[in-house]
Amino acid sequence: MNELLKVDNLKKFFPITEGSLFQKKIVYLKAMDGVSFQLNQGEILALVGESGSGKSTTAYTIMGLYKPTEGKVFFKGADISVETTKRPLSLKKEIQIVFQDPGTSLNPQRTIRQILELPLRVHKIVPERNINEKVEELLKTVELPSDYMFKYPRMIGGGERQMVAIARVLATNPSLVILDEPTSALDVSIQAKIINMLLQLQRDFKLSYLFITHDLSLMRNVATKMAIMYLGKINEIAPAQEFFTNPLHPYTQMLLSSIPVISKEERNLRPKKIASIGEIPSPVDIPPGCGFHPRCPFKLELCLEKDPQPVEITPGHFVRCFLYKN
Amino acid sequence: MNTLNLNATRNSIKRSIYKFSRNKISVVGFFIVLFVVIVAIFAPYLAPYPKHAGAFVDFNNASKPPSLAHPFGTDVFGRDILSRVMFAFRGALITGLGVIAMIVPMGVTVGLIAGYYQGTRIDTIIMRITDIFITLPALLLALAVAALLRPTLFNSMMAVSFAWWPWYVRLTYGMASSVRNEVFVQAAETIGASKVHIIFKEILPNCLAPIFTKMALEIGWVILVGATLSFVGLGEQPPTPALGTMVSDGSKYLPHQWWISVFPALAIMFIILAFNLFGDGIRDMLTTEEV
Amino acid sequence: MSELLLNINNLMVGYKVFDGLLKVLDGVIVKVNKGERIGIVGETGSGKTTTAKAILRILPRTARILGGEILFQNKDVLKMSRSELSVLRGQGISMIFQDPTASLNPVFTVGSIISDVIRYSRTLSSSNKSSQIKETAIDAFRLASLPDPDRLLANYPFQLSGGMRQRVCIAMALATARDLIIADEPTTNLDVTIQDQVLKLIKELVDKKKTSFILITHSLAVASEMTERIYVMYAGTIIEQANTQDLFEKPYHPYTHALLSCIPKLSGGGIALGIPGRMPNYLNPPLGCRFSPRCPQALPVCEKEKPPLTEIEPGHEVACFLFTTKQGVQQ
Repeated sequence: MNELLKVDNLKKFFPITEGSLFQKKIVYLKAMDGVSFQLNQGEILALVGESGSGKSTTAYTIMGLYKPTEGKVFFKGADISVETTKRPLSLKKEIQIVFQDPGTSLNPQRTIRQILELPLRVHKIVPERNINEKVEELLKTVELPSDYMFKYPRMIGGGERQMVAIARVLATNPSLVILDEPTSALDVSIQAKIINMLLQLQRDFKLSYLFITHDLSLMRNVATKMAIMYLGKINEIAPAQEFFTNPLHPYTQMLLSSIPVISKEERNLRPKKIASIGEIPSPVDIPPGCGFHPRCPFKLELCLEKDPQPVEITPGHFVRCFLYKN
Repeated sequence: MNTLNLNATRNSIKRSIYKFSRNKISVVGFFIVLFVVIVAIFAPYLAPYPKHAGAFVDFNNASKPPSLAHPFGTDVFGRDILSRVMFAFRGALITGLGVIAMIVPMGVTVGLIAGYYQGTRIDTIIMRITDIFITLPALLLALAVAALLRPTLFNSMMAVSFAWWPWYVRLTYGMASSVRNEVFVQAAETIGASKVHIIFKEILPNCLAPIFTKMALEIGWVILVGATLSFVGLGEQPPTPALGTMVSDGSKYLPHQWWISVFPALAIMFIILAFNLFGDGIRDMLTTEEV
Repeated sequence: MSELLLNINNLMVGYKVFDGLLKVLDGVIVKVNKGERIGIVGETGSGKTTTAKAILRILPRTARILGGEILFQNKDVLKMSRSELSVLRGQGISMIFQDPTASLNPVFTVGSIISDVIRYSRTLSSSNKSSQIKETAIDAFRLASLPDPDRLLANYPFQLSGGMRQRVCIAMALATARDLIIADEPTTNLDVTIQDQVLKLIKELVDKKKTSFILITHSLAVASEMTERIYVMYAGTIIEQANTQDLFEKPYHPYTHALLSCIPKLSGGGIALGIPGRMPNYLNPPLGCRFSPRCPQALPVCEKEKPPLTEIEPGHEVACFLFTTKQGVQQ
C-alpha cells in the first residue's frame, strides 16, 4: 500500500481578541485540534462534518493555505508542513484543490482559456505553441465544448464552472486532489454528472481524493474510507463499508439518522433514531472533556471530565468514545 | 472558432454602449468632450485667428466687445478671445490627460502592492505614507510645489500629480486588499503562480472599474486645479494662452470689459461639466450589473 | 370534501432582460387545500421561487405577468389592490426565505423585527399596545422552541446561530399568518442535524396551527419527509403531481425518473450519470414540451405540442404525451 498523505496530530488555532478596550483577552478558536489520518494511493477518503467541525481547515492546512500551529503533514514520505509560499513548485504540481464555490474560485475577469492556461504555463507542462491544443484537450476531458475557451465564467452555468475548475486541477496531472464540497451548491442531476466524472477521472488518471463534505448519502456511493469530524477532532474513522454497516460513535449515529431519505429501504438502514438536540457549539468555546457530551444521549460521568483517545475496534475502524474499549 | 471570440466581444461592446447611453445627459457629455478634443487638436485650423494665440498685438482692436467678427470679443492686446480659448483647450486637455496618465499607473501599482501585502508591514508603511499625503490639502500642496519650480506647463502638471496621486493608491488599495482574499487568488497561489502574475493578472482586472470611473470623473477637476495654478501665474507662461491666466488677466477689467474674463471662465466650466457628465456615463457603464 | 385555499391556474410569468423576454413560467398549475402540506420540487432555474414570489406579488420589477390567475380564497391575487395585498401579506400568507441571515435586518434586535411584523400585520385589535405585541412575540418564540424568549428579544441576529435565526423567521411567519405559510428552501443553508430539528419543528407547528403549507425545495428527500403531496417542476412547467408516497413508488414522467435516479442513496448502488443536456434557454424555449430536447423517450409530437397536466390515476397527474393525448385524455 502506497502511503500518499499522512497527517499527524495536526492542529490549527486562530487567535481571536475578545474583551473591552482595557481588558483584552486572546482566546483561541481551535479549528483543528489534533487530526491524524492516512490516505493511500488510489483511495477516496471522505472527511465529513458540519459547521465548526474543522474539515475545511484540515483541507486548507494540507494545501498550505494555512500554516499548522502544531503537528505535521507528510506527502509521499516528505514533511510538507509549511505554507504555500514556502513550498517548492514541484509540490504544487502534485497536490491540487477544487473549491466549493466555482463562482468565486474562477476569476470573473479572465476567460476560461486564460484560467486553464495558468497551470500549464506555471509548470511548463507543454511548450508555448501547444497550449491551445492542451486547453482543448482539457475541456474535452470534462466534456465541455472547445468554444468555451473564449467565454467568461459568468456566461456558463454553475455545474459547468465546476467542471472548468476540475479541468484546471487536472492540468498538472496531480497525485492528490482535495475536493472541498465540490457539489454542495449544485443541483442533484448536475452533481450526479460531476461525481461520475470524478470517479471516472480517478480511475483514468490514477488519482487519490480527499473529499470534504457533509453529505453522507453521497459518500456512501463514493468513498473508500470515512472520517467524521466534530469540533476539530476526528470522532470515528473506518473503511466505508464497515462505517455504514457498523456506525459506532453517537454523533455518527445522530448524523446518519438526521439525513432525509426517500425510500423505506433507506429508512430502515438508518440507525435507530437519535434525535438531534442542542446547537452546535462554537470552536471558541469547546466544552471540557469530550466535546460532544452536551448533545450526547449516552454520556457517562467520565465524558464530562476527560477527552477520549482513539481506540481500534475492528481493523482500520477507530472511534473516540468512552462507550467503547479496545 | 475565433468568430465566436469576435461575436462575444462585439456583443459585450453593444451592451456597454447601451448601458452608457441609458442616461441621455451622459451622451451629451460624451459629445461635448469629443468636441473639446477636436477643437484642441485642430485649433490651428478651426480658430478664426490662429495667429492671435501667439505673440500678436493690435492695439486698434483692443478690448472690443463681442461682435460678429470676434464672438468672444478681444482682449487688451487686441487678440481674439475665441481663438485664444480654443488654443487654451490644448493646455487644459494636456494637463487633464497628462496628469492622469502619470499618476494612475504609479498610484495603482503602489495600491496593488499594498493590497497584496495587506496586513503586513509593507501595507502599513505604504498606506501611512499615503495617508500623510492625503491629509495635506491638494490645492495648497500643488501651489507650494509649483511655486518652488520654474513655471511651465510640465511643472504645473508635476505639482498637480504630486498632490493627486495618493487618492489612486487608496482607491486601489481598498479594492485590492479585499480581492486579495478572494478564492480565485488562493487558487492561483496553490497552482504556483508568481506574485507578479497574481498582482497584475488576477487582482488588477477586478479593480479596474472604480479606477476607470474615477479617472473619467476626475479629469475635470484636474483641469480645474491646473487652471487655478495658471490663475496665480504658475502654469504656462504668456504668450501661450491658458484659461486660468486669461481669467486672471481679465479680472482687472471687470465689470466693464467683462468678456475678457467671463468667456475663459465659462470655457473652464464647460470643459469640467462635460467631463463630469461623461464620467457619469462611464460609471454607469462599468458598475451596473445586469440590464 | 377539502376546501381549496390556493388555486394557481395556468400562471405565465416572464422577466424583461437586455436581450428580450425570459418566458419562465409557462402555465403553472398548483392547488392547495386547507390544512394541506404540499411541496414544489425543482432544480435551480426551474421557476419555483418565481412561483412562490408571484403568490405574494413580491416579484422584482423586471417581472411581467403574462397570463393566468392566482386565486387565494377565491380572490385573484394578481388583481388585488394595495390595501388588499397588505391584508393578504399581513394576515393571510407568510413566507420563510432561504437565507435567514439575509432576511433579518442586522441593525435591529430580533425583538424589534418581530414586533414590526406583528404590528404591520394588524392581527391584533386596533389597540396595538406594545405590551400585547411583546407578549405575542414571546409566545411565537416559545412556539418555535427558542430558549429564553424574553431575553432573546434583545439579541441581534449576529448573536444567534444559523439554526436559531431560521427559527426566529419561523416564529415570525407563524405569529401572524392564519391560512398559508410558504417556505422557500428553509433549511438549505443549515447543517444536517440542525436541518432535521428545524424541519420537524415546522411540521409540528403547521399541524398544530392547521395552516396550509407550501415547501419549495430542490431536495426530493426533504420534500418526502415534509409533505403530503408534491408538484415536480421543470423549466417553468409542472410535469408531475402526486401524493408523496405515490410519486416515489410510481413515478411516471421521464424527468421524475431521471431525477430520482440521480439522488445518492444511503443503500449504496452508485448514482446515475445525470441528465444529458441543459435547461432550455428561456429566451427561446421549446415550443412543445420543455423537457423534450433532453428526453430519452421523446415522441415527434413532444416537440410541437405542450402536454397538458392530466390525471392518470386518482390523485396522480402527469404532463407527458407518453401517457396522455393532446386533449388531456388518458391513453
